[in-house]
Amino acid sequence: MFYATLEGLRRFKIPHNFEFVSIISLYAKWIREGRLKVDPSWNKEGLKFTCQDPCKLVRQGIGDPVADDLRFVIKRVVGEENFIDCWPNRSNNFCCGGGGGALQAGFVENRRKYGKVKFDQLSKTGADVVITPCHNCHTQILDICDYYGGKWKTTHLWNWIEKALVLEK
Amino acid sequence: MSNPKGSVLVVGGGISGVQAALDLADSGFYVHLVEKSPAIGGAMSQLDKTFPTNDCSACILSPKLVEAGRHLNINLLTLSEVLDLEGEPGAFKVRVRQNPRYVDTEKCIACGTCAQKCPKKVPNEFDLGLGTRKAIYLRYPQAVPLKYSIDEKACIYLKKTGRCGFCEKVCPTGAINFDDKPKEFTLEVGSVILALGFRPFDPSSLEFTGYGRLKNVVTSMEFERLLSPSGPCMGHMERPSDKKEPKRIAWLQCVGSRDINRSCHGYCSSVCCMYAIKQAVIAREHSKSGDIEASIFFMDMRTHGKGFEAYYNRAQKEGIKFHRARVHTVLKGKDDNLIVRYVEDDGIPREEEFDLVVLSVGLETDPSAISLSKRLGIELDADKFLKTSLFSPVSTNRDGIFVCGAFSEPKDIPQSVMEASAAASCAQERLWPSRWTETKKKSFPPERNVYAEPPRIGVFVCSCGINIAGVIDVKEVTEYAKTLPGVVFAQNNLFTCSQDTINQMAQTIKEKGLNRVVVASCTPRTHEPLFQETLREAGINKFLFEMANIRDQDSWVHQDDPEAATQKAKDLVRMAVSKVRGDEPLPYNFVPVKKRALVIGGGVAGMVASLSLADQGFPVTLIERKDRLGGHGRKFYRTWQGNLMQDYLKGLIETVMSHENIDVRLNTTLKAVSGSVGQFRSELSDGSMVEHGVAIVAIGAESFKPRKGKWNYLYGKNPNVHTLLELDQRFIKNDPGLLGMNQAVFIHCVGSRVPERPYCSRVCCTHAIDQALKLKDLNPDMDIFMLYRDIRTYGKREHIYEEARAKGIVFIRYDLDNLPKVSEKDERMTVKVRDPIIDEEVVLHPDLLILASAVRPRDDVGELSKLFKCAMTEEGFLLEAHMKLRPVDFATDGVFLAGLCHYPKPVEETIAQAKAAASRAAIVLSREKVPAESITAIVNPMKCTGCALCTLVCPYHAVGIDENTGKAVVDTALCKGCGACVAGCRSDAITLKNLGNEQIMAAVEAALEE
Repeated sequence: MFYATLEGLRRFKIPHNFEFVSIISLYAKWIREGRLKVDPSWNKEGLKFTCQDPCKLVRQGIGDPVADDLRFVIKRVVGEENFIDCWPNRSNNFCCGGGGGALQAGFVENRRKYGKVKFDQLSKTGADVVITPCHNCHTQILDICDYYGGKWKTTHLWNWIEKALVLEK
Repeated sequence: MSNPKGSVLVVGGGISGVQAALDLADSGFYVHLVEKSPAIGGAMSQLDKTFPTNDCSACILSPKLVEAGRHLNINLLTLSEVLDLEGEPGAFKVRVRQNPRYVDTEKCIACGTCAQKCPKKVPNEFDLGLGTRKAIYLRYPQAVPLKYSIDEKACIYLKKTGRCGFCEKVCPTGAINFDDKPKEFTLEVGSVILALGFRPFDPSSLEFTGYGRLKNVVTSMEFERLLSPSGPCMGHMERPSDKKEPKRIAWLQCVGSRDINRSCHGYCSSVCCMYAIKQAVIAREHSKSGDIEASIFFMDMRTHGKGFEAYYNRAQKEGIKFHRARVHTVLKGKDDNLIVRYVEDDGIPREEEFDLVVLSVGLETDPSAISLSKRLGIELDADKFLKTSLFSPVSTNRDGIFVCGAFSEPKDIPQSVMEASAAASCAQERLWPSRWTETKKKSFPPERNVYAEPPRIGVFVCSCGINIAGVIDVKEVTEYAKTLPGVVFAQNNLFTCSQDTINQMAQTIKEKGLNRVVVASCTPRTHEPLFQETLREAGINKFLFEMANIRDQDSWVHQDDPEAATQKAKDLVRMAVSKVRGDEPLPYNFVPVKKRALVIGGGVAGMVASLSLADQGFPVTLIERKDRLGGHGRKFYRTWQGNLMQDYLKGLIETVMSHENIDVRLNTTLKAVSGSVGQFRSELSDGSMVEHGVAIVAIGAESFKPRKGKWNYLYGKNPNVHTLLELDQRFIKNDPGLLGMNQAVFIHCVGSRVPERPYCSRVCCTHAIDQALKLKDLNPDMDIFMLYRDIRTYGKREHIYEEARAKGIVFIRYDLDNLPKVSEKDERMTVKVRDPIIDEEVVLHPDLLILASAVRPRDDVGELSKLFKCAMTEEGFLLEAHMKLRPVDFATDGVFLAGLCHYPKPVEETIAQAKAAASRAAIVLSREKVPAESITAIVNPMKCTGCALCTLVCPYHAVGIDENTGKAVVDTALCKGCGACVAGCRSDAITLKNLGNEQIMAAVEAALEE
């Protein structure tokens, strides 16, 4: 819905009096403003993180600014040194291979073949955790990890914010 | 209504605006040319070279700009914008605001001292920010007007009064005026021409390209500046990150064109394929080492113009790599190199590293043009280009306001120039009664007869600020000049071309009784007309003048050796003085104009050109070889926008036949032509003679019928195999046989882009797709397959390609190694073709097979071209005077061309070209007499042996043998003074006036003197 609405407004130049932002950019904003306090010190074991740039959000959607916000939030939540970016990344990142209805449409073999590119790329980072801020990517990356025998955990972003959250006393 | 105004407003000083202004001003109208920047020239002035001739863009453009800048009847309004407009056609009132230049153009002599001292550097928008300029600046070195202007946003003084002000202190002529204010005024004009141009698409929003993020990703316009000698790296290509010469360069096509996703530009920008190939070719030429690897990534290669396909073929042969792929990712590699990921037909992703990536950005309308159209009530289309109808391609929705150039659709320079002339023609069709009513005329005093006088030579040595005086000792040169025989006056000036020096020169000529003048300064190319005019103002013949180029050929090239340079300056002055001593006054020749046009060919082009001239009040004789008018138009169903051709044609024929100024001669051909511009005499096949001042050739072309050979495809054997025009005729007749068909196959490029006809026929892609859509309308369930090589639906035509795909029409690409195979068994056709995407053979059984066959030149073009001495291309189309800037003129003065005989083109371009030809013809017809060359050849009959060699070598057919005397005679109306006959004469019997042995040898001897 995010992409469909955003693109609809853009493509047909529909006048509107609201701003279109991702929750990720809001997290980043709140963290910068100090309204959302996070502390990466929970990550004592030094779990390594990488992330996925969902096509609809980044490459086709808002573009690099939101990808940068995503990285900012992750680094603040898990520790700067614990983030390993994949390559290529941001607007040039690979598609997960599960979009466009592929997850629901059958043709499982084909879908996993597309996902192999993503799998190889993510494996190369050696990360323990892949953060995917998109439900669709999440399902696909979970599946290709399982299918091709990946070693990482696939999660959303909020799980880790929760972990790093500093509660006011 | 009273007579309309005799003046026209042209908005936009790019090449199309300038061309429209020149056409109008040359045919009796006063033109206000409004340009928003400080100098005219537009985008063309930013280009390095132009395709397909590889001409230097500035070199071919500059003369036009100088002409417009000096034209008595063009009022150049730079830094100006149109605010609003009221009134009606023939009497518009236009409010214009001129922003302050802060430099008095009357006083500024463009010495550049101000810019040298100016402490404020800002990014140079002319170089798209790749270089810097000062706050007081020239837009570019050859800017017209060549006057500095102050950028008020950057100037320190203007932002904080009292600070800086260096320019004011150093200006030698006191031209700086910090108190300059915006001026608003109202112009009264009869018509308005909008030539608002385009701006290059900004690819910052396309993040996958890396533009703005990766240093070595540049736009094509930026790359033009990197190539240009006047650009930030003086033409020695450097990439932005490390100033090294890039060795591996990639061009990504369709950035901001044919992209309905990110850039919202569904149209094709028409010019990018060609400019990318040109840039690749030129980059290899510019490179010092010559080992540049160039790769072009494209979807369809669109080289659909005259000479374009040959250029493409040559580029392929020269080793430029072409990848059919739309690049989806540009990544940062090592050392700021770039990694490009792409997928070609085989589906395998590849990566390649490049030093530089050039984004072939498309064209879009500038926001200022959009807001101006709103203010003027001019309608734009969904792509934000001006909305035009194909049968009136340069008209807007508002009567009396016309359009030309890239503002109505992305297009190349020749097409823009054509439209500029066409728009000028449209304006004249209404305003012609007021020709010459508002124009100015320069008058000169009668010339003093100097024949009997001994030479009294004046020498003016120019310092050109420090340009000359910084190297050469000008005082010494001046003193030396005084010692030369015949010299009675010598003077050194800071700037000889400044207005006060010019006035003083005229005064000196009169006071000192000078009868010969030498100016030792810069180049005659730019300044000779100015000084010659000064001579005329002072009452002496303008041919009693010589220039010694002591700047371009001396001080600029010998900067490191001032002594030798001073010696060379003396030599040059001595040579000029020696030559001018022998110069004679020459007559100003004119040819009276016979006010009639002869138009050859009664197709759409011929009829539109005739009508345009007839509507301007000129009589026209229109000859057509067949028994009816209409030409190929009779076979054509509709344009790609759905305008029905037969309805248009019927109206056009009726108007032409009944027009009082048009004399239509059917069943008539041209037999013989004599005379020259202004005074042609043509013999027609009915035995009559026509005297006419100009001729327009619009003889059309033929459609290629593949009756046998490789391209036959059952043509002529199966009744359901047609060429495009044959299918059109079934549409025109509403043939019920077309209903209920199940499958149609179109084969593109039948006989085009093949070795025997190596050009693209331009019209067939669009025509075939439009027919496919029509078939789909008739039979919604019909399966239609288009077998194509490259789809070339350029400009807005791309939209119907998009529509065709949306409607399920299938496009299958083939190439020359894998031609479609067509066979027939029991009246069932079979077409086999290999689909490169699925890599399998597709077998089709069409009910209808349509061959998009080539447009080919008429076989008898050669005969006609001989009659008018006009040239032909290798393919057999007629060749214009200059592919870029004179697209409807022939090298032969007074003869013009339009329509298919020039090159295949759709009806809208034919109409534009026909109107353009009419405009060019009107320049001659609107005058009582036309000027002819003064420096002509002259025969000494005592020496002439009548060998007639001169008649053979003369490219203008100006020399003949007099039947009575047996000696050569020169027709001074035809002679262009090229000197071919002089060199060819074995008896030393021909000389060129003022360039004879007497003058040239005097100069040579002077050069050899110690």
